[in-house]
Amino acid sequence: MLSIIFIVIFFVIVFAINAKNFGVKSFEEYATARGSFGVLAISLAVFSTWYVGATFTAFAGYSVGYGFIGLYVLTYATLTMLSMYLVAEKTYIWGKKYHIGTQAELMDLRYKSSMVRLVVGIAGIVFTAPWLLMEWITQGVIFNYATNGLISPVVGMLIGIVVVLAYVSLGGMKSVITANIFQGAFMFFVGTGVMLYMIFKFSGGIAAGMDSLVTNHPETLTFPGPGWELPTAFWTSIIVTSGLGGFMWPWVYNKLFASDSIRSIKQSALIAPIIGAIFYVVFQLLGNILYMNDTARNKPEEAYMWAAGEVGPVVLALMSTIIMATSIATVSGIIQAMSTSISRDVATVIKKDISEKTAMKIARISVFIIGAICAVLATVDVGALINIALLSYQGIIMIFPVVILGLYWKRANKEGALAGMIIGTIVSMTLTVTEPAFITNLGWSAGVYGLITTTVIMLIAGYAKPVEAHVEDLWNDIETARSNKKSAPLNAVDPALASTNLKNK
Amino acid sequence: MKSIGKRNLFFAASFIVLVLLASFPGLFDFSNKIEPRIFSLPFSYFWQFFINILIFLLLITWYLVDAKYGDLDIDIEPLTKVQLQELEVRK
Repeated sequence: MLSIIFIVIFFVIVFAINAKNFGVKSFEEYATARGSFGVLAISLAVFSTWYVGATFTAFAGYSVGYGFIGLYVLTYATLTMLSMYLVAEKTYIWGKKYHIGTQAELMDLRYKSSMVRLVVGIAGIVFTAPWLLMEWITQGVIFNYATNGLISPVVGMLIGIVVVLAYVSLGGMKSVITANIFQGAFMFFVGTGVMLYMIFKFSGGIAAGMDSLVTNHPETLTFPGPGWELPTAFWTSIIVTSGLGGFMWPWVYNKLFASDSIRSIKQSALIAPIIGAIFYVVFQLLGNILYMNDTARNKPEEAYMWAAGEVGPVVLALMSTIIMATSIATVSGIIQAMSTSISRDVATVIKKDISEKTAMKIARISVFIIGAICAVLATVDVGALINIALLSYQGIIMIFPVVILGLYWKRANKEGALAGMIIGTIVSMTLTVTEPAFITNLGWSAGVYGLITTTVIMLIAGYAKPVEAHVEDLWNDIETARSNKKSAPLNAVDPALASTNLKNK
Repeated sequence: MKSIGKRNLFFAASFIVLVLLASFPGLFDFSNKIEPRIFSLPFSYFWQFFINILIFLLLITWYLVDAKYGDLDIDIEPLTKVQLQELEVRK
């Protein structure tokens, strides 16, 4: 019962700190919060959104079930931040100048193609859907476990859905990030503290836990782990595909448009991985130590909740709230990004003359439609969902070369981007589904082959055509902004350039 | 390193080399063992932590160099509503 009280208090705080944000009227504010957040907010938002609630349940299979392999998240999370650092400058400058609210819209500007926008937007929605479903299910499971079966998983899931839909539809990006600040701080301070406490309770400390593992279960301390035969390329693949794809999720990328400066984004790219690494290392060490316990090892998806319950009701209540905070933070970001994308990247592309009021209405209605569809679909087997969620990484990674080459290579063009994304995704998905022998034997995941395909197609297409005129203008935007560091605004310095941009569009 | 392009290339390449040390076949295999244990951690764990600490230090250096050249304080004036509408019409 204590767990429910803690979760209810947590929900009340989320609503209380958001009260002033409810009732946004402008679509831009709903989508980006008008670039009003600084470094702490963006850092905690990226951290809390990026670590999913299912880390503690579905994905505990790695850390508890196999040990060391779960540590791949540490390096891949760091690699993800390289993407964030690299895209920061141009995303901010073009985003602010052209009032851009989504990753797909940014690609439309860069490639001057509504089709690229549509494909990136739809890819973001489709590949994100399994994560949303998995998070809803996680929330149901946590409610069920925390109340000893009193609240069924379906009812628990519905409570989570109502809470998130309410504050996302009312407050948009501002509500999402305001809640993320609280959720992220709670996850980091309380989450890390509780998990450290559990390590001391279960093994007498990190050193003592490692000693026991070396003596009793040394196979859990190296790759690939007990009972698994995998080539090293598998380890490389999961780090590369997850690391490069990790920042391409629209629900993470779109947070950049809420930032108030390049400095804030780059500082966040330093802070978010450091707090994320501390949080995740403690999570991983606890998971590896829990392997020594039969109950945890046999049911890794319940291991963290079970272990918290063994320590005491207060720790169980805190652990339930930590998982709920982690999950709600991700879900709110996903819902906000999906609804914004449906309105801005799909509806606006199909019907160009949509008013801001209608766009806002579409976004708000989308929030409820997404919630309803997910509530129905979330009755499927969670095991199948994990596979679909992991599969989605093999798809989202195709956006990586489109974004990075688009931002750094003038020759990248829409033909290459479209063909690369579509063919790369087909290659990746076909190899994932058919699983030919070389995938297993060599260890490189299907996404790696898809990524190489997309990149090669984009390079060939890039050299097949001269650089497009609008690209030169976009590069001029960057050069002009750089040459006027914190001085005069771009338009004031070079009004002709703005008019050239308008003309070329 | 005044040119932001060259700077990005240098730091991104260094970053990738470090990630490869923690993950690439051959380079990772060297660290995939329990002994020698350092700070009570198995060598596999220590190596991953060590590489990630180096990456964080590299990121901090990158940030400080960017700050030194003033590349963090670039700002831009958004287009006005009228300019945006004109942009849409032309498109």
